Amino acid sequence: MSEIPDTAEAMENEETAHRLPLGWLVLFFGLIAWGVVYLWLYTPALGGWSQAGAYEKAAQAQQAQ
Amino acid sequence: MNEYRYDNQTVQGFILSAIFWGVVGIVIGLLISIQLWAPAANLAPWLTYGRLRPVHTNGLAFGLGVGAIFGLFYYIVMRLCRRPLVFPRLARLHLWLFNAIIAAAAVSLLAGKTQSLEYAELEWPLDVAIVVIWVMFAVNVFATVIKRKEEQMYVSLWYVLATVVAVAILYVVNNASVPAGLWKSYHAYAGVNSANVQWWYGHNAVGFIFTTPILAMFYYFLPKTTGLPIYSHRLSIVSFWSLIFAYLWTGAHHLVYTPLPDWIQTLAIVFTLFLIAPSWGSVVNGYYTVGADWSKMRTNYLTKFFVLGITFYGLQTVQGPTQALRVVSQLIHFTDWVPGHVHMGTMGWVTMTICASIYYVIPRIHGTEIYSEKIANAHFWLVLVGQLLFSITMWITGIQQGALWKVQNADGSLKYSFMDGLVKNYPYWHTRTLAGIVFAVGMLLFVYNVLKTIQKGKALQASPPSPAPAAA
Repeated sequence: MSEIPDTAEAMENEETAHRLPLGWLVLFFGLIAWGVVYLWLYTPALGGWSQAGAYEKAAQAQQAQ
Repeated sequence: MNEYRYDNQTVQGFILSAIFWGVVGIVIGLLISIQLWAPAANLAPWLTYGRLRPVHTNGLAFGLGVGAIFGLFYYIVMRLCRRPLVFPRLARLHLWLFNAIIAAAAVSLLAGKTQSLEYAELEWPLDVAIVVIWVMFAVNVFATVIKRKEEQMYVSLWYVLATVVAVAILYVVNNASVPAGLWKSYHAYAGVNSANVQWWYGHNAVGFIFTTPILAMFYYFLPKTTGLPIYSHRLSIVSFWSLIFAYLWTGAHHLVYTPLPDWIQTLAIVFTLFLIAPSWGSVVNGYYTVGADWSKMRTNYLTKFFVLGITFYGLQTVQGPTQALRVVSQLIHFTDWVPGHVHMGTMGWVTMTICASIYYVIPRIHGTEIYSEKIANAHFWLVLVGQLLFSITMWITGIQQGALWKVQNADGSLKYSFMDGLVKNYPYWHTRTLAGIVFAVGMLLFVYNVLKTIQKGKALQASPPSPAPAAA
């Protein structure tokens, strides 16, 4: 079997070298968008949620039962 | 070819060292898996679970993993720069010091000397020695890249450089400590800060020992073994930079539901989930590369190692980020799910890729072929089955553990005692030991195959056959 020489040109497929698959781009930007939303929702100074607050709420719900 | 001979011997020295520490680490892994269900197998104080477990993790991460990284990086850098190492004797000294340090590390851990930081257990004198050899390594790699004869830098070289730089920063920052004697020191940071720095380091050990260097190998050896060029140069570079950018922010996902400020936890979770994209960039690139000719899975025995390796990398990089989510973390954190997760990465992706790379390199160094493809195939199936059995049993018992811990009585007290949960682990822990044995047998076949190939190469050198061997 002929081996690929150790040059960057030979190691990369010329025809598809500049391609970014569409599905992957959707994943890439989708995760960034999700991250912005999640960051807002779960940062005390932004969305108001806090670990301690969530605990208090759960404890009160338990007491109410 | 001759100008590479001295350096190739250094490369082989690192590979053989890595294999030696790998065998030690795997045998200790088997022993500690037995100790969990057979307490009598603990021989106090040196051979107890508490002391052996860090020898297992350090031995495999730094002995097998980093040993292979040193050797294979030198090999990859020489090929992609199309020149021998700039400082060949420095690399040889690096090899001897590396083995001395790993041996000293193992003894110090067995003696119970530890900084009590996971994956940073080694005490400060060893840390200093490790920094010294890392600098030796970095000098050689950077000098060779700067003096390269191939202008373009292939993506593997970027992963090599990122590994060298990131590990240096991570190691120095987290191992900064105040010595209180030769074998005792205190972390330079206190309380929550100590935990935050430790897990910034701990998670990035995964990033820059189990991810970037293994991707460097994957991107280099996959095209070399299959003869198929990488699908997309752009995808590989975009994935590289986004992976490097995101990884260093993720460590705090180990500290979900702790006193660490909520916003740091949330930020870490966001970056962790984002990591799926760059990770899968490499997965997609790997699949599309082999997708150009799937018959390579049949015709080239190494292709399946790389394809299964990148598959487990893909699974690992979805499972890991999922675990960072608060709702998942609160079920599986501190349970046996976590070793199940880690071992899919280390046994399924890291070891699989390292073994395949070694199978490629050793015959090339000696201008021969692998001793036995049949044995390599048996090795492949055994480690695959062993790893799956290991991971899946640990996931099952991890979820069981987490679920039991959460059950409450009407008055809010816990329904199940520690013993209730422990006893339910036993069947799964027995199965894990069995899985470990299957994996270890596979790895022993690998070792045998490599040693036999070297023997074959040496015999060839002693009496060269009449037809010229294929140019390496």
